[in-house]
Amino acid sequence: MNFKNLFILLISFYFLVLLQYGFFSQFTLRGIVPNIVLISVCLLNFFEKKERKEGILGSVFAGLFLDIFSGFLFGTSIAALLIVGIIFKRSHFMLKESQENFPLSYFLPLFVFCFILYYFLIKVGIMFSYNFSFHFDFDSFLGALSYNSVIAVILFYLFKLIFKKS
Amino acid sequence: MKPVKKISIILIVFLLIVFSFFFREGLRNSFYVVSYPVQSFFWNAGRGAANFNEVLFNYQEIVEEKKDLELKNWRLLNRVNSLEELKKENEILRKALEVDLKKDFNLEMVSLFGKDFSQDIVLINKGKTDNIKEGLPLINEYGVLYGKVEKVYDNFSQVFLISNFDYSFDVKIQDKEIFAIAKGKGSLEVFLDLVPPEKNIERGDVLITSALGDHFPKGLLVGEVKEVIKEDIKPFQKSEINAFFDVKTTDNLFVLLDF
Repeated sequence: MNFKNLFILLISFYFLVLLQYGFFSQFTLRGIVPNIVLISVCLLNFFEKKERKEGILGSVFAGLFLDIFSGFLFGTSIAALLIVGIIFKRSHFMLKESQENFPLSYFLPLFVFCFILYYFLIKVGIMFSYNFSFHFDFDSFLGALSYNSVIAVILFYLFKLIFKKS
Repeated sequence: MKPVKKISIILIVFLLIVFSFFFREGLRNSFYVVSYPVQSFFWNAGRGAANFNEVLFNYQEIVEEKKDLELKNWRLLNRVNSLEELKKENEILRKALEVDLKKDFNLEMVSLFGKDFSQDIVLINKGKTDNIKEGLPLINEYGVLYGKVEKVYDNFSQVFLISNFDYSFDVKIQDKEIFAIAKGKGSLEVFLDLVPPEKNIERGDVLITSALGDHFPKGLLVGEVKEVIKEDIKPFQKSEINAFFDVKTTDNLFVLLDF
């Protein structure tokens, strides 16, 4: 990867975070906001080739911009998205060495696992940032998981189409 | 990738994170300033698209809500008539006592331009340079309470919506001497807590801020009771609240600079 690609990746995630805070934050379902940044990080790490590093760098950039725009403890989003990115990349290749078909049956369970992990990591981050007690509302969690999974599946097929063409 | 190039990229990314960490306050404000026009555009575009989406998917609900609002409108018109009479009487009494009860609030008009996805926190386009301070309330033109300024930067501020998790404040039920605590549940939801079981709360009761807490001036509109939850084993009753604030349909809001 050259510096031009690095810059493009940086700019892309900057605009994605702006879209997340400005545009997508209004598409609420019972107050739940779709997490397009997380979904994009998962998809990028799932579809890119094993030797490429854009997915991991994208996770860092996405986390960096989220940390800048949000008020919580700096580094929370970088750490959370980096962990998700690494898990996605490693687990995907452990499941199947050749990833030519990119099956949804691999993506969805991985996404669900990473979403749960990310959800709790961010909860811990919020807890430390604002001195809140740890709070878990199962209904809200289930709603967020379902809503984001549906959007992830839709975007999965969109990404698949793009990656097949490229 | 060549090792030198690989190390350079890792070093750049590392330095970027370290720089951002040490200069985060200034960096956040600079990012808000630079991104404001684009993010404001995304916010307005998102609002339009989301409202269209809502109309499309909740048509039946909207029709029912319209009927409900029409009914409420008639009731309110009826109440306005009786209040007009009372107002006239009060005017006469006030003039007689030569007491000016009107208190002018010092307001600063602000615009929303972003919402956090993990919490009920919104961004407003005014900050320290506009005399915004932490703890000040955010309301709309009808006196509906939105939240409290939590973090202030030079040109922007972050506001905790009243629905943000762990956020609580004192409320009173309008026209009833019932005091309670409103608590944020997250996901734009609020509930009413610590209401003694013998107190009679009904669906549709309107909640206003009370003078008991120092958080907000009294009389700001909060929401209405949606569902009362009574459990025999619990010492207090709870209620689901339909909060009046709405971030999707709001253009301009106001920060109360003093109260």
